Amino acid sequence: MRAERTSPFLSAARALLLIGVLAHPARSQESAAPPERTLPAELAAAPAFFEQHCVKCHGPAKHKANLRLDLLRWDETDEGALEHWQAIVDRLTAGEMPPEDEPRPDSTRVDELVNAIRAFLERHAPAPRSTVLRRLNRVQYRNTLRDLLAIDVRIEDPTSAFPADDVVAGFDNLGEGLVMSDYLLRQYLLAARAAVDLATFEGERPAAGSRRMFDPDSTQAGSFEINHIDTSRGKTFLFMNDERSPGDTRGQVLTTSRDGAPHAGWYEFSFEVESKGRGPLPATFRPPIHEEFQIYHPEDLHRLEIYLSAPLGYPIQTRNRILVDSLDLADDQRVRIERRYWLERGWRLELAFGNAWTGLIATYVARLGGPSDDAIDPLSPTERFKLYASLTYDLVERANAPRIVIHAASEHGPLYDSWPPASHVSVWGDPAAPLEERVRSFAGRAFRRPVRSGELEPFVQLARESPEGLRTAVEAILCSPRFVYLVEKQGALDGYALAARLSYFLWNTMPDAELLAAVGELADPSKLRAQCERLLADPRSDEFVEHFTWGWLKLQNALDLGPDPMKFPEYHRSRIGTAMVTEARRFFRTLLDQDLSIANFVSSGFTFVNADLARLYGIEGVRTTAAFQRVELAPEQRRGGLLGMAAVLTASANGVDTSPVVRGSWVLDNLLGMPPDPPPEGVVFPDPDARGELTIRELYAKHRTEESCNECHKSIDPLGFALEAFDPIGRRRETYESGLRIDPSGTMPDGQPFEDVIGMKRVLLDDLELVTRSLTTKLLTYASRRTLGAADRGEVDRIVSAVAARGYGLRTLVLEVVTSRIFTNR
Amino acid sequence: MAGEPRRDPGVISRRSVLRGVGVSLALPMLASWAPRSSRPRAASPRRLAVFSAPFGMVEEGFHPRAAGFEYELPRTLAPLAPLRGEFTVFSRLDHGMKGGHAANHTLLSGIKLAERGAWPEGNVTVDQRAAEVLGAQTRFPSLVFWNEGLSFTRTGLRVPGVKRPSEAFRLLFVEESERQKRFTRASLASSGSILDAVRADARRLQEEVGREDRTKLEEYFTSIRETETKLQSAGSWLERDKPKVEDQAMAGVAEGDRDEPYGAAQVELWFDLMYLALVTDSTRVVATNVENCNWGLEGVHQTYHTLSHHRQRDDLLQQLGIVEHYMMRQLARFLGRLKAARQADGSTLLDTTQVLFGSGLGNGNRHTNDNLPMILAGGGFRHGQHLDCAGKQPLCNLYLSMLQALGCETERFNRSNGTLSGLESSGVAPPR
Repeated sequence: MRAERTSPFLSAARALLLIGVLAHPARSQESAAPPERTLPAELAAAPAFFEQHCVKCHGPAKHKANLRLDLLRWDETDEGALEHWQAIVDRLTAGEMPPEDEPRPDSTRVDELVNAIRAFLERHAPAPRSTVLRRLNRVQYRNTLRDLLAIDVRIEDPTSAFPADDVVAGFDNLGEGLVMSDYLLRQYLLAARAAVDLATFEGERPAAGSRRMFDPDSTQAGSFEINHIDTSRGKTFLFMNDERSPGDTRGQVLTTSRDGAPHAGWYEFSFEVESKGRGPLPATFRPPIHEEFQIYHPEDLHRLEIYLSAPLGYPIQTRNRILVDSLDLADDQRVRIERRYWLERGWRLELAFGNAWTGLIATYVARLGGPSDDAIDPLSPTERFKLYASLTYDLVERANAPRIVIHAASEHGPLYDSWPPASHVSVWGDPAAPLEERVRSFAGRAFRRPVRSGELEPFVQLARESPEGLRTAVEAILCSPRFVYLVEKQGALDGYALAARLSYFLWNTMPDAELLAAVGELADPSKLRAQCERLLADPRSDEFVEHFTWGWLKLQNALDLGPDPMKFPEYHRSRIGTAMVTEARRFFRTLLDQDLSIANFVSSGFTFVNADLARLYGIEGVRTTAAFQRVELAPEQRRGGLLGMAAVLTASANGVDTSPVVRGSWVLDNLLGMPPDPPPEGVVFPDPDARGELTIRELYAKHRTEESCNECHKSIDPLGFALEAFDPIGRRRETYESGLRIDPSGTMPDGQPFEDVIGMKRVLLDDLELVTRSLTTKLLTYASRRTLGAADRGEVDRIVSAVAARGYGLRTLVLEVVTSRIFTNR
Repeated sequence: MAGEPRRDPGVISRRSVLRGVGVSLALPMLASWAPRSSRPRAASPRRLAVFSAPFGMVEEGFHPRAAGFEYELPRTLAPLAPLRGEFTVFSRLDHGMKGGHAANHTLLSGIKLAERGAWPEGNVTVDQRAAEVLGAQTRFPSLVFWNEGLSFTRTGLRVPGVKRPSEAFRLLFVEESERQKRFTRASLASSGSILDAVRADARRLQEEVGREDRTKLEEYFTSIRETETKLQSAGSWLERDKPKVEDQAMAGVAEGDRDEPYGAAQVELWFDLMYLALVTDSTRVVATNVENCNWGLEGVHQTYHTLSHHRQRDDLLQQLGIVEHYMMRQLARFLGRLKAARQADGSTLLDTTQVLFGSGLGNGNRHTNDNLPMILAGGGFRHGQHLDCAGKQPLCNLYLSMLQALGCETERFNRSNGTLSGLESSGVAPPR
């Protein structure tokens, strides 16, 4: 623990906190109770102390940081007042006040006062905010349906029309933001019905059939298809994507049968593919128009993509299409790929060449030396396609153009693990059992705890009276508050409630059988910790990584604030936004799995990139676009940690230009947990003006020269200036568009200088405690699904100390969160 | 020509005839679509249409210099010249907001999402408040043709928007498949008894939980009540045929041919869909907006968002001018169509439809939320003026005036402190 120097940042950052807390009291202090009211006993010594040591700067004449200590508030029911006193304690104990250049009070007196204030705070600690009864959010509802009914929800998503959940404190799973409305209830009714339909299988088990590409015995309906197929060759290939939809590989795909899967069920697929011709694009295939979409990187391995796609009735552009797998293919090697997917009736599987070059088949016709227009016009569309296909294939092979050859493709199904399938049994139960028994069995699993008879009554009655019988009761249960809300009693959570909390925290779904079996032991922290470890080790914990990072780092902005597609089409074509998000998640996942230090979020020697992201960062040697690789970062690359990641740099810009204030505020808010207050009333922003010759520092001159501005901006601006070294999508730059050189140097609030972002990050590392506290708060918010308040401060401090003592590991932190009072109590 | 949609050579359009799109009929006269319950020479119902832009409007081009009826039309508003007497343009009217984009969602309510707990009607937006009054008679109480985030109900629901023209067209004019209808009928048949069962369960739960949770459960009970009311009308609409529309401008829409790309052509299409929705009385409250996009207009080479951050560069300002002028052209075209549609009682659709244009940002370059660019047309008000509100009246006052004229019996709307002074009815009161 650093003894001598207080972190330069910590004190300034605390100043921000104080300003936030105390600015308002200064105004309202004017109308506070007159001084004659009796001060609480603990605070008796305060007025004299303040008069002697503080009021000179924090009084009627001068009120620095908008704070007046001659007017005191001590209304113990006012949480703001209590924060106020806590802040005073903080400043006194840290030795930050009085400032070093002022006469110091006797340290015994300081101690006495601090202890007295602490006693006051302890006596009046406000009741902790409790988690409001909150419903499952959309993702949780969908995952729960999936697991409760053993159905696939990827293809036919019963929640697709649900309204979006509101975001509070960055996350969409907080109780405060999750309202119920008649619209949503109606959606629950429809979703429940749809889910039961998906789960139900009646009649005989359908026989499995096989379909092969080019199978002479199979009918048209059963065979594989591709645009421009030429059946005489015994193979087919994918070689180009449609330039009209960059980033969307619909131009040319290999699809399974026209009518799609004959029945809902599992289907096994087997493909034999070979990547060929990787290299510079032959001249014939460079299209004459729309050059900017001509993005093919010969250094990258060819990527095969597998999609599940909706039946033909849907319009082609809007046809639902789900990417289920992505593979980088080695050159000139026949590879056998086997997969098993669940398909709904009518759905199909598609193969696509993900990073093919783009073009339009029609533009090649003239160059292919084929028949004239007069010869083509009378042909039917099918004949025309056949002709194009034949001509193009010849050309592609002769020129050895980049392509993925499909040597064989087959499909076998529908297959079932049992009959009727598990989903059917989960709804309908054992047909021989009495109705009440079947309702109880379903309700018990749905309500995530054993049910009492009285609770069952309305549903049993429904099952008896409804013409559709049991299914009406099942649908009702899926709409009932005990399913839709997480019900918790006040105080320490019982085993079932804790199991649910843990499961939704780490897996975003209902507890599994193993967790339910352990509910009796969860009051024991070591058992709770063991379950937490088990859940973290399971791939389902990717839900936690995905959704927590999404909310913490505001990753939606990384996708929304991409650059102008006309200026940088590659960004959208190569889905760089998605790659950025993947990098952030992989990084978080690695720190979590290996319990690496939180310091890595500030500064780190490695990250994860694919070929597209590597190009953005100027890193050589990465050739895969599907697989992400770990790369070691050299210091001169100035990357590493969150502040070197394109996702963060994009989310903190606006797609057009950067602003040091916005980026600085992002760092303060999301990394350090000290969001700055908005600017005071009456500040007029200058109209951003790119015509002038002023540098950004000159434009922001008032932030330094005006004292009231400087209070906050001395903490915000330096961070932002350091990050000016990156453009709006995170690329390195030395100059602005105007040609002016970028100056990434700055000075921390305490005067410590830095040259650039490397130095800045080194200084931030001194504040690891602050970063940890911020991350702890966010994790607790996400895990307990409520915003934290003053009363939680003690527990947060305890967790931070515990984690610091053991090396600041991220996994350690998550375990501390799960065993904390905040998580295990309502 | 600048400002025209670019024609893309070489695009092969895919057309396939979708069965059931609609038999050819002349565009129906409004009279034949009057609700069955109305009398033969019934008074025309009132309606509301909203059109919003995300990045404000360049001030010099939008806000006239002089106030009153004799003002000179600024260049962006030039396309509205033939309709000068049909609209009012406002200046220095806003919600007193700060927050740039973060406050954009407050355009139609004046209340930030985070604050809604403190207001009796939450952050309900003017269109949804109107739908409470106007929505009972039509298949759709309201239609929101945009992404979520601009319309909110009083219970806090962010109204989901219809995102694609094909989806909108199918909702309005294409009969659902028999399979779909069977599904809906079956759902409706059991919904009533399901809601009874869950209400009983919720009552039981309410006794077991603490005070705070009981308040939260109130939301659930309210939702049950409101759903029950809506189930009734949902059932009867299911059995009624949708209106049939044969309009050359709609060719390919249902099939999804016009779903991509998003740009000028699609903005025009959304206006057409709004018009059709109103003229077939499928809804009486409709809203659409413009998103960030590549406009695909001659002379415009940057995305809308980039242009809004013009930083005073001449080339960007010039392109932005083309975009804004184009939006006003579309508004003028829409107003023109409403004005040309005669109703059974002799009034025009414009007489009984309020059309609101606005943006949640005032100055897109500076990201400020004051002096919002607002226009109100139609709806039986006395128009033709530039009303400079001098920052002295909240924008919610305008909304209150609008709601009262739509038949809403209320004295308040969110931050209002009265109706908007300076805006009067035309004296020819739209019949109730």
